[in-house]
Amino acid sequence: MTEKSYELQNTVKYIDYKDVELLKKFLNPHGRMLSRKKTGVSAKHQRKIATAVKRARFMALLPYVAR
Amino acid sequence: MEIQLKEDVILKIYEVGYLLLSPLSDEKLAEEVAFIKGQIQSSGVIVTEEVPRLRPLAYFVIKALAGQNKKYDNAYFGWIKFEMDAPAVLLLKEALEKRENVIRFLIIKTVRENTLLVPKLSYTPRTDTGKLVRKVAGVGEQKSGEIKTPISEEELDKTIAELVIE
Repeated sequence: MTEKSYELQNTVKYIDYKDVELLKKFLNPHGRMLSRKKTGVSAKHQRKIATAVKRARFMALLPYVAR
Repeated sequence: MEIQLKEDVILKIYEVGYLLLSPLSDEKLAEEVAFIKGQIQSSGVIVTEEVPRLRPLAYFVIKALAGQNKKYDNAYFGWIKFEMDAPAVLLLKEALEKRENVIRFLIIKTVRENTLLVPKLSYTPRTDTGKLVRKVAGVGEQKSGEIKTPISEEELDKTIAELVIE
């Protein structure tokens, strides 16, 4: 288990779309989401992260595409 | 029993996040926030909120105003967490859609507890001068029984000579 996933599973129960700094850890430099293989989080948390990232993108807190 | 359940109003926790136009005077900003709060308080209860703050947007958001599309690259972002029953949320949504100063908004279901991560507090001791103290094993540590005294040059020469003979 990676350090990131350990932190998530022990401390985070709800992933907030406003927590941009946390969400940025799960994006690559192009603004795309990292795969579960790379994040190492559980399927449940990956789904929550995906939802939060999509909400943050809609509110223009995160980019859809970054160069 | 079923009739009773239908009559009960089930309150759920929601959160509305909103973006307001960036060139907005303080009065207009307060007015807009007061409108959103008023809409919520008419059929719900505010749990927590954060006042809108100007922040850069990750991309240009286009809003049609008076038949013209305008691009915004910064906006006031604020949010309000509230308790309300489901049908009343639809009314809030419709009211927000009509507001000209609201660029975009998002209503989500959430939990009552604080969902933002609190940064972990870490304590680092500082000296009187304000410099950080970094402990390195074996450096700067002294055994309690051992008292170091300054050695004169003669004694130092003697010890060196002894070491060379050995």
